[in-house]
Amino acid sequence: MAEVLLTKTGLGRTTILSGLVAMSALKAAAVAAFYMHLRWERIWLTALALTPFVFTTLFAVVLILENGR
Amino acid sequence: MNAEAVMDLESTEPVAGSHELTPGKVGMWVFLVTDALSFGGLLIGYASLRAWSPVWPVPSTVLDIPLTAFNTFLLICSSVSMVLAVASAEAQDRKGVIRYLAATIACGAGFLGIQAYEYHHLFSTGLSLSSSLFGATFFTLTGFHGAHVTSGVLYLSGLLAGVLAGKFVGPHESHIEIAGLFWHFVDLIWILIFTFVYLV
Repeated sequence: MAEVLLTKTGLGRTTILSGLVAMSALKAAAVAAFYMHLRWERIWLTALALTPFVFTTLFAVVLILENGR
Repeated sequence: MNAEAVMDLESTEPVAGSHELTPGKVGMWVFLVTDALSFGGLLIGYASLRAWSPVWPVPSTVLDIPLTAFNTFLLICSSVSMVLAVASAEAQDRKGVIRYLAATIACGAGFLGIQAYEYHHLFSTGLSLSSSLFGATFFTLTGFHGAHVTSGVLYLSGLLAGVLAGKFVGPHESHIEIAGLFWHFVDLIWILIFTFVYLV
């Protein structure tokens, strides 16, 4: 698996972390778009499917800001 | 929701250029959205506890990455067989639906078996829900996902029993597609858990 191989490359931690996040996001998006047919669904259904990611990101940002105080 | 969308929901005819949107499918999507929020909260909880905890083990020193990578592969294979089951249902190929649903169930059961083995091994090393923050978050997150795989296997088994009894395969049947949405969601979430809990 590409992700496991990436962790063995010896690259910098930030590079590996960015690569892992990008690859998992790409794979998750591909599953949603093609296997779950979102690519062919109505736009409002895609918008509905994206709401958890929006709220989770907001949650993460608020947590980071709160911890920075 | 605008008037056009409501009309689309009430319509029983497929819309050109789009998959047929049935109330059952919309209901499953709404459920998946709420479920994704639950997983999102658990993932953020894991990440924040890990980021601000003074002591946290390197996952690769505690967890069996090659075994879990194989388990991930198994779950991805199950998603492929689920896609083939949905395609067979659309083509009204009953034998194909039975074959691919059985393969999906077998892969899901295999995933659960490997996860049970992993848990048994981790318990024997002293890692448990109450042993550390890592143990608490790890078992909560992967256990919550495992519960989803379990319910998915039961859901698909019920569906397979229905297909064997002559139901769920027809030109306007979307039961298998709806079950497929749930199964692919479980696969999608595992991709994120594998990356953030096992590899990062």
